[in-house]
Amino acid sequence: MIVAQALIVAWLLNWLGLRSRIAAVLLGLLVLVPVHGGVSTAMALRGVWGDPSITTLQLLVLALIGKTPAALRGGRRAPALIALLAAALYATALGPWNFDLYRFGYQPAALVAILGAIALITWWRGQTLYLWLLAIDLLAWRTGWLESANLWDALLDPLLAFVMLALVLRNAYRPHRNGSLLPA
Amino acid sequence: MKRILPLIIFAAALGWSWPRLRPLPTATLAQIGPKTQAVTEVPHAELLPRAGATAHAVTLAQLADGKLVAAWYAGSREGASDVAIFSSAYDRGGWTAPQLIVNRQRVEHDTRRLIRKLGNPLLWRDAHNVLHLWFVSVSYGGWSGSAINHMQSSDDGQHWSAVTRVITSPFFNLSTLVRNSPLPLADGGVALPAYHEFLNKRPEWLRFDRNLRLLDQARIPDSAGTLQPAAALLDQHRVLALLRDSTPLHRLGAAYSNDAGSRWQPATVTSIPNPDSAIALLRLADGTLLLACNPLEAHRNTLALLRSLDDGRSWSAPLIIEQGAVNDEFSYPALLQDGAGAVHLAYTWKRETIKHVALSPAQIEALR
Repeated sequence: MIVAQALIVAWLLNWLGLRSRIAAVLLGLLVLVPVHGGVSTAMALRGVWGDPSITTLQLLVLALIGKTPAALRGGRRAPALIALLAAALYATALGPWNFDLYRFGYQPAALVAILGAIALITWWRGQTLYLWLLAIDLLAWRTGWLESANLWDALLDPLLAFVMLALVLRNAYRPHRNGSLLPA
Repeated sequence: MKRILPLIIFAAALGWSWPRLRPLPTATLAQIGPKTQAVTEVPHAELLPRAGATAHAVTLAQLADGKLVAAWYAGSREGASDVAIFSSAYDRGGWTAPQLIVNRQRVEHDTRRLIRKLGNPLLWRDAHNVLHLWFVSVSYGGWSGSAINHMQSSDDGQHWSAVTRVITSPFFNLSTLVRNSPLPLADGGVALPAYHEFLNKRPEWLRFDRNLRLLDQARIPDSAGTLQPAAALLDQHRVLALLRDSTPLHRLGAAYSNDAGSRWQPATVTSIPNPDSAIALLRLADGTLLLACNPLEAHRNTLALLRSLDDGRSWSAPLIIEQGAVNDEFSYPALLQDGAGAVHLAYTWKRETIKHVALSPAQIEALR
């Protein structure tokens, strides 16, 4: 998953103004090159924030191939929902309270039931994005490919939460523009 | 088809995941008996060979052949980048020269992450004689930025597997640490007492399956401000955890679980003083409990053993093992009982090295 750091950097470069997505990906791959004592920039970044979630990986790939979902480009509801879910998760996981939402990610029947219901309702209304995201998250979690055995880590990560929060604010204050924090 | 495809994929993912979605069966505790050999003559006291300018956080285990093995971290100072984890075995009456188990560079290589420092090792031999080593590492910041790592050895520590990272927190995997010994489970899994330090301190209880996949993560109610749970099984289902106290109370906390750690009764405060320092807890072969701690409200200059005959509800008067000047430190104890009944205590000795003390069964029996 170290290569995920290259995707994050490529997306950042694209967001910061590098218009060619191919150039952004090629430059992003440079972070995999060891620079000091065998440590690459990707390893340094991974030390900071770890691996991104599968949801983030999916959205990064969509962004880098120019297919950012419309619900994230201009909408507020979807990023707000993701940001709120992340806020609840991190507040309970880090706080001193006896309740911890993160625990529900180990045998996540209830979590999958709730998120699955939301994804199916949106699918019924014609929006397939959430069902795709959840299905691929679930598959990746089940393969055991991730370092984490907790489904939450396939669904969310703090970087995704931060970007979703930024999108909520941006889309709230610029509701009529079609620009996006995520590359189109 | 474009619209139906995600539904089919989701249904397939759901079906495949079903076995892992269901609730866990209740855990049952097991006990791995000590190896039959006596490790050393008792009583015995010896400083371990030095592996660096400072040494801290020793942990003890018994190898498949019955030898005692200790691991600790050593380097120029706590938290320095040259700190590494070393081991030494007790062989023919003395401790062998320290052997490097893992250093920062090895962890960087294996986990593909920048690592700044290593800390708290924890050795444990499982029922199949596999030696496990958990330890913490930090990429940025202080100890509250720690994450847990794991290695294992099938040849008594001659060779070790690659380092793997244990993910225990959704927020940048901050901040879970280990200190005290795990408890084996009857299904081949293991329950590992751990603790959290970022923003607040509290104990955590990690349950792994036989392949060391993390299955569950429980909290102890009303335990905020405590850390480093030291656990002992009381029977197949019941566990006692004693808790280091970082609050102004300066008293050890205690909590019981009746289902092998899945759920805990609220933590209570004991009468045993604790200067916010590590403890060790051991269930002896006769079913009594032995506690090693600094029984003071401040300072770590006195190290003592206490014994409980009633599952931790009351404790004997302390048997003082070390008593020094105010600035001396005798801390971070580890306990182990060998097959001959001798109790082995190892601890940080003045932050310079590790000391090993062995006590006879009669000395322990006298603690009432």
